[in-house]
Amino acid sequence: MKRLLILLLLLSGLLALTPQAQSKSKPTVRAQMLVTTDWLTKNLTNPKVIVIQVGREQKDYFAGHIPNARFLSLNALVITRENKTNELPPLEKLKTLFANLGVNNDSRVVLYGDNYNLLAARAYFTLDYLGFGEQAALLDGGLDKWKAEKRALSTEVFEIKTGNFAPRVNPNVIAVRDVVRDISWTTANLGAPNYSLIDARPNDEYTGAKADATLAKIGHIPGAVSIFWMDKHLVSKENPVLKTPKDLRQIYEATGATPDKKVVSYCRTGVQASHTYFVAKYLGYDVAMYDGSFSEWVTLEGAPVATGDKAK
Amino acid sequence: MKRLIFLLLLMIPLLSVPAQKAKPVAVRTQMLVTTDWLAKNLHQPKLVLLHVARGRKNYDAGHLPGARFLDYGELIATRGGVVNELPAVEKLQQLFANLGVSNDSRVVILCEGQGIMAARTYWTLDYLGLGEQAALLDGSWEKWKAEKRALSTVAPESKAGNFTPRLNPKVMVTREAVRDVSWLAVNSETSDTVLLDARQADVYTGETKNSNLPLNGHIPGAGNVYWMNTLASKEAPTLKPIAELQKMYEDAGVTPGKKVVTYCWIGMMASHGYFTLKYLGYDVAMYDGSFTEWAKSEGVQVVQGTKRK
Repeated sequence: MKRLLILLLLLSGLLALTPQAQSKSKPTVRAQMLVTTDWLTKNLTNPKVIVIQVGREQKDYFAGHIPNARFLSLNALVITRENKTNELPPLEKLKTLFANLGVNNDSRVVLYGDNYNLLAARAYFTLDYLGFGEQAALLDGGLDKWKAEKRALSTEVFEIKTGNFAPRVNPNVIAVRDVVRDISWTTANLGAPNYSLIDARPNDEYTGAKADATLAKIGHIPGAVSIFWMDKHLVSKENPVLKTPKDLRQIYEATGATPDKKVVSYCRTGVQASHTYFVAKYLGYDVAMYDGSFSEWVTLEGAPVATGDKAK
Repeated sequence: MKRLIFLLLLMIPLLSVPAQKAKPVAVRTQMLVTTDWLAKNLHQPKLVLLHVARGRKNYDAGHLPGARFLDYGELIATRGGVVNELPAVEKLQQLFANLGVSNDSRVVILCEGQGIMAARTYWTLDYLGLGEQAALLDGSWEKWKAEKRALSTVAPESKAGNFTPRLNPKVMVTREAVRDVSWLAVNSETSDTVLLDARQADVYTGETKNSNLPLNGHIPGAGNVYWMNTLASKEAPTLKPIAELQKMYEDAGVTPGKKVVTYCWIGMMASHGYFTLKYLGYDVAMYDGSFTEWAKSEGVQVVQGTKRK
């Protein structure tokens, strides 16, 4: 009897400790962030699933979209502030935008769109800022895969019932310039104690091999490593699904982004970096994006840049 | 026997649930040490004791044995026209390493005055990833002196430490995020973040004005807890008892489960609010630009009077 009592007490102690034990484990893939075309086909009539096509031109949407999908223009998702392009609009604008697309607090939002889901990834980042990341996902392979599989398309225009979307603010998705300056310095000079800075642009922009007259300087932020989103994240342009989590993890870890690190992504103006934001978060990293990105960085007085293949 | 087992099985979830639920508001007791504790631990080899002040006159006249002097001016920079901002990390790394801070140090901070400069130092160390190993001396310099404890004029040994900052940017929020938090506080009943003004009540209401600013009052949606009201008294500036602090913040809308953003004029008083709320277990960030930056920004609103919005 006494023995049983002790056993049960021990058991209750173990149960109480479980949450702590979990929080220290290796980051796990956030599988709910990605849905397949099969899954979407089965869930297209589920009223809780809100499908959104993110694009530059509405005429592409009118030419044929996934049934029940709504159109979200990139122009509505970003603004120019203090000469920086592609910045987040004020929350009140974003709330109206997503409510008008029919998003409710209990919705499951599925995003796809232009540039191999690049713009959809930017929309994901935006929803994550609004505290809705847990309920949003990308359609793996996007419209390209959907079409290749000859799934149903629609040109129907329908009325959208305004949703009750009530955003919250999750400011940790953003890294500002001064913080990136500090991350750059610690990464370059102290052996990257807890951050990995990732440049999402094509490699020739990272190295500075490609000339760019619109930028005061070329190259990359010191300490940053190069993971060009299109080459490294996607299986191919013809089949633009994400590589397997195992392959993606290997690519990230090979650059030094080991599981104990947090990730900050940047690119030129904050669009390509949102794909890195999405993939790093999908892999389980704690991630933020430097929205001002390299185009803002080079306007900073005395901003150091590095060129060539090496991080610093 | 069977009944007992059943009873015990029922107890298991009871035992495990409170531990989880209480977590967001569990007091972080390691963030505050008493003068008694410090007196007993002054010679611990891992202790780094920092005396923060503007100018070293008082420090030189007699300081806590082993305390190192940190000039407040070293902790702040003016950037983009905004005063009292964080210097670049390379400056801060060098500053703290030269004060003897290592990655395994236990840092205890005191300051002259009622604790603001010490709190700002804590916030800075929290940004540098050392918040878990740093604490304030409750009652600070005033209490130590009032208790007539040992003072020394001997310069402490200065051996540089191996401090490696592990950046923790979550301690701060930008103006844009504050704009959004403010909008939600005014327009949404489901907002999970409380905006809190750490300045005097008459400044919060706009009765007392700063004539250098185009606007006065408070950021819409903000509650008000004047930082000095969290102290026992100006003369004995220890923190009030935990239950009183909790009540004071709850009356301002800070209830368990909420996140908090503090601000003041320039990020000084707000760092005391930051410290106290973190001590009470809250998830908290500071708007370092504070009301001075807010009031000078284009298109912003302010509210006057005692109402939040």
